[in-house]
Amino acid sequence: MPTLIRLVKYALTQRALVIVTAVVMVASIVPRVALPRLVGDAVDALLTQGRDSLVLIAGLMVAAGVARAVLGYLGLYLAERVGRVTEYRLRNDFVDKLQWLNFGFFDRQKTGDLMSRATVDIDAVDSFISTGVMHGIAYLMLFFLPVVVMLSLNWQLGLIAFVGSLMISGYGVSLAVRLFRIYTHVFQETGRMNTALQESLTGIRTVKVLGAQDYEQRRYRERASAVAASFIRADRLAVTRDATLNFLYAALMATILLVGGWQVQRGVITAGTLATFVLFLVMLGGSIRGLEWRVRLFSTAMAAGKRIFEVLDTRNPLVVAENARELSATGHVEFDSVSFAYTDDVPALHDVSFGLRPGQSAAIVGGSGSGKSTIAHLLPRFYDASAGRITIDGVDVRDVTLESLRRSVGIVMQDVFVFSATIRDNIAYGVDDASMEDVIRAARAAQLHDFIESLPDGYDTWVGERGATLSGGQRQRLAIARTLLLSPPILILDDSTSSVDVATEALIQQAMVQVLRGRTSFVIAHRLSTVRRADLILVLDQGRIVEQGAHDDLMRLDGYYRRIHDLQLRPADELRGFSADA
Amino acid sequence: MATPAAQATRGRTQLDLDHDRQTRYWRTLLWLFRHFRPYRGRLAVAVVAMLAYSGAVVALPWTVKLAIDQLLATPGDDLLGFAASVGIFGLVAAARFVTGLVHSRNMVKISEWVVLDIRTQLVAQLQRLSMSFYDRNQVGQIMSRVQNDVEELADSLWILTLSLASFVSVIGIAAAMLAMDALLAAITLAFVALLIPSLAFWRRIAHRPIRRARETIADVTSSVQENVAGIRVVQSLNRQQQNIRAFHDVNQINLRAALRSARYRYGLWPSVELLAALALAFIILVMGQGIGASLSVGLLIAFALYIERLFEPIRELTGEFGQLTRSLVAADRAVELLEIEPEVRTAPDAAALPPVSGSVRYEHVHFAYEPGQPVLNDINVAVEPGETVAVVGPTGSGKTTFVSLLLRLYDVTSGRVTVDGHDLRDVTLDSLTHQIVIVPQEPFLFSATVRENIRHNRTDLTDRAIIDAAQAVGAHAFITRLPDGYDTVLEERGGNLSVGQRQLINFARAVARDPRILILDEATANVDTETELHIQQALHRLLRGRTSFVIAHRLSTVRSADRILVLDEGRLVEQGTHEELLAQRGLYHSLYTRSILGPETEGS
Ligand SMILES: Nc1ncnc2c1ncn2[C@@H]1O[C@H](COP(=O)(O)OP(=O)(O)OP(=O)(O)O)[C@@H](O)[C@H]1O
Ligand SMILES: Nc1ncnc2c1ncn2[C@@H]1O[C@H](COP(=O)(O)OP(=O)(O)OP(=O)(O)O)[C@@H](O)[C@H]1O
Ligand SMILES: [Mg+2]
Ligand SMILES: [Mg+2]
Repeated sequence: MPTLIRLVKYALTQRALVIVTAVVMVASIVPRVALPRLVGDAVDALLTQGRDSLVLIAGLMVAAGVARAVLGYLGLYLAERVGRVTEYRLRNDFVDKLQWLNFGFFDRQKTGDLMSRATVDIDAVDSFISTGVMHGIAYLMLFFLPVVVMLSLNWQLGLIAFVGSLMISGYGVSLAVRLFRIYTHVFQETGRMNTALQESLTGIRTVKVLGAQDYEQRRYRERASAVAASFIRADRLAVTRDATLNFLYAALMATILLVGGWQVQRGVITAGTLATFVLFLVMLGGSIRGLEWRVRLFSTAMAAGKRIFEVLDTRNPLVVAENARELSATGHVEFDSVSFAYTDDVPALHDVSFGLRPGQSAAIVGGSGSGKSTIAHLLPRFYDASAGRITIDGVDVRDVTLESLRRSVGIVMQDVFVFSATIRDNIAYGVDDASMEDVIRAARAAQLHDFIESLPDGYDTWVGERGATLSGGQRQRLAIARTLLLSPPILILDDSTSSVDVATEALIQQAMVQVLRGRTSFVIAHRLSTVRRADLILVLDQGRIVEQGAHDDLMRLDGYYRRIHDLQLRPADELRGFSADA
Repeated sequence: MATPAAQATRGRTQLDLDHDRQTRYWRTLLWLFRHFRPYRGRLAVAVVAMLAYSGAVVALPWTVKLAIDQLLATPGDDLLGFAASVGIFGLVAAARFVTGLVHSRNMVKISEWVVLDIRTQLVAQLQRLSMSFYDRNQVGQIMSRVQNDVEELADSLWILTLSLASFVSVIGIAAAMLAMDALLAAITLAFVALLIPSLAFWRRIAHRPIRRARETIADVTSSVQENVAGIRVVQSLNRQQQNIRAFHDVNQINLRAALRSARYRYGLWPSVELLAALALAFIILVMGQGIGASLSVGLLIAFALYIERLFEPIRELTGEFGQLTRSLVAADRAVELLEIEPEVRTAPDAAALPPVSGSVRYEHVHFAYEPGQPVLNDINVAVEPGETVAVVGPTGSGKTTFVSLLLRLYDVTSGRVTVDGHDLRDVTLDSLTHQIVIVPQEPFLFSATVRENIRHNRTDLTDRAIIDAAQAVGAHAFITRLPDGYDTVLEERGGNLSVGQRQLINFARAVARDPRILILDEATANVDTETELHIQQALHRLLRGRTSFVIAHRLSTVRSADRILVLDEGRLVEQGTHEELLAQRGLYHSLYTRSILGPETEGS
């Protein structure tokens, strides 16, 4: 119920429009109900040879037709407008909300599922508001107005028609509810089928190299067959129900004919009245089918609305303080006993503390899953630390606006995402009015400019989905260029050159020294050649800092860092041998 | 700047329907009909039932007419004849019930089956299509063909059979009216005929707004897609405000287009209403003049009922604009997808590749993703069984491309690639992928458990084999630390793992398959040195006698290879052992020196 109220509230933000629509809807029913009356009058006029009144009746009929045409058209359009505007508002709010939810929320969601909430579910609400509620008003009128007219014409016949239709519609609605349950199930299965297909298509490369095409297809066919089978079950019930409803209506019609005929015979009613009843009954049948369809729209919209509000109501754990300040960082970063866990039971960081002065560089090394990326994600507040605090220039990151914080902290994420757009748009993604010169400068620094220039379309080259038409290293450099363009005072590179050869990496580093003079930087890397120059090296193990200091300090410590160093650089001696030879 | 997503819909996509393109109605219809062939027996039953059903639908008002005329013709208390005609009405209604059921129950089945066939056919085609297809097209757009278009088709098949029934009844009604009273029937039909030009006119002017609304909703969808799939980038680059603004714009454009389309879509409604009323009024006037056949109350009622029925299908048509047209457009889009020939094809007489010893040859191999932009030039390599071959070179030099050809993700532009002397194009893909496995540069995980991810299509792999593989690549320890161990469900793309962990699971997946030829494409780029060393030792043991290709930028990883290939801008510039190449003091020497002594070192 609260879902219903909230949906209606959304529609009611355009109160005047809703009221006008309702009035038009109701008004458009009157000429429709008049028609059977007029036919009945015509019959009586014909029988009593009162032919003069026929012209009047025909005139009224045309008038009713005109009214019905105009009001009907207006009603259809206005109802659609109410629904569309509601849909528009809801979708805006939905997307606005998504923009500010934290990474934790997206970790748990599936792209396909969020997409279908934003599209299919909101569409369902739209149809419910327009076709369901607004047309529903008309259909209710279309049910009750004829009943009132019939009761006034002849209460016995009217009562039969009324009670009969009520019973039939009761039966119809009860089945509609049952059908709705079956269809909900069918739609869930369909959703699952589509999600699985979507995944096998996004992972098509993997599917192909595993030779899993047949396997995927078999699994799809199984799911699709299940969907087809349950659709058949549901549809069979639906068509049987429809046929039964029609038959019951015919039975009611037969009853009315019999009783009405008997009354005509006794002179209680005229033949015209009987004609009116027959036509009204056809009308009632239509309105019942209509109302019953609304029940279905209603139940679908309730399910859809729940899924939409679930997202809209998600409490964003990233609370920004009321009096949040604008951060204009110089780049003094401090982690103070920071702990963090993605899921309650598994801590990812334990009591991490370190400090970095403006212009200093830090490097983070450690095994897979030791928490390097996690540290990188806490600084721009993609997640909030569960204990301890992180400060920039002495201010807690929770006390500054998210916008200014993220403007100050530029991160190149490990899992590179590239939009399917031109290279230029991708590089300029974070800066609204980037000039071509800026874009080229960033691309040069990331050592991507020459490659881009070698392409026939240069900066206007379209890159495939997720950068499919680029090599691994090209994707990474695109991401670097994108972040460099922001020119942030604090820069984080999360394993951003892992797919780049050493020579190119060296060039990037050289260029970066110029671009980022005086900026604070974090580098996460496995190649020690990349990290050894850092002012501060943090060695992580299972979420704890086990060693920290400069290269020379760590070498003296003779721990993890030293070990890795020896593993990677052992060949250096041999190399010296070669150089000596030559 | 327009949002990338908004442009994406206009982007260089192969699937994008040319907006002015003519739908090939007849061919598509024929294609659709072919799918009904397997069910022709049932279809025949359904059609016969449908004809009978339409007959009953037409007969019902007639029986009402008979009953009422009978009632008014027999004076006094004699209701028996009347009751008998009402009985006939009941019988016809019962016949309508039964035939309707037979028709619709059969059609439900047939149309679901047809849809199932089309769906599986489409998905089979999608699995068959080559990588180049997926490079050019977005999954969202492909999905919309399998999802929305087929659904549209399903709806339409259903509506199609219904409108076929209405069409038959319209003809039946016209006939019945003509039989009852030729003049009145002619008047009514004249009004119906008036609808035809207005229908044609309306279709012409309404077509564009309706289409436009459909196009703008696609922009909305892709804008949402950008905001969902790319949200991490959006947030990290602080682009929320712009995206919100851009989205509101796209959304507003869609709202306007939808409202405009609504104004046109309902455009036919008033004329239908008006013509129906005019027809009835005219008939009453004519009846009042006593022209034509005998005047009868029953006749008037029957005509009132018939007119209602006659205009109904036309009214429905205005609600759902040309459902049939839409369904054909949808079907046409499906056919279009099915007609794309995969670029990588196996000859019909291709044989299965027998178990190979692992000798691989590249002979004068040239390759280009896009015509005119060569990526590999005249590559000649001969690898002996059991050799470990390292492939190194600057980023973008074609290493991944080089191994993709061995997996036949793409076909060579010229030259040939052979395994044990078999040209890859002469063997079945299945038998090839069974023996050659890659650990890809970009790891991919399904949203399934860790165990299912490693096993995937190799349902014959035991749990033991899976754990062994995980142990070999040093993934076992962290997997057991996950909340549910091997049964932990991974999020989309493995989102709840660190990147290195994702790579390790991909690695385990490859090792578990125990391939004859193993390819590692920077398989340990995101993995720490200790784990990497551990993997190397394990592989040494596991891959004894197997051929392997190793791509790596950390050159310490490749020095023990039997042979090193150095690629530069798509050319094989050096090859030989580590020692030989160092002695040559070429590209390899300079790369290696930097990799060991640090990037700042100039190549000595
Ligand atoms: N699917 C594709 N469509 C078009 N061009 C592509 C495609 N994949 C790669 N390329 C281009 O081909 C060239 C070689 O790419 P490849 O992926 O083979 O490089 P790589 O040597 O593996 O580089 P990296 O070390 O960065 O992974 C690059 O210039 C790249 O832009
Ligand atoms: N979104 C997530 N939800 C739940 N757990 C996560 C999530 N991301 C990472 N983890 C877990 O947290 C731990 C730390 O992950 P993190 O990504 O920080 O590792 P990392 O040091 O960056 O490793 P790598 O070198 O492989 O990138 C890992 O055990 C990982 O499984
Ligand atoms: Mg990481
Ligand atoms: Mg590569």
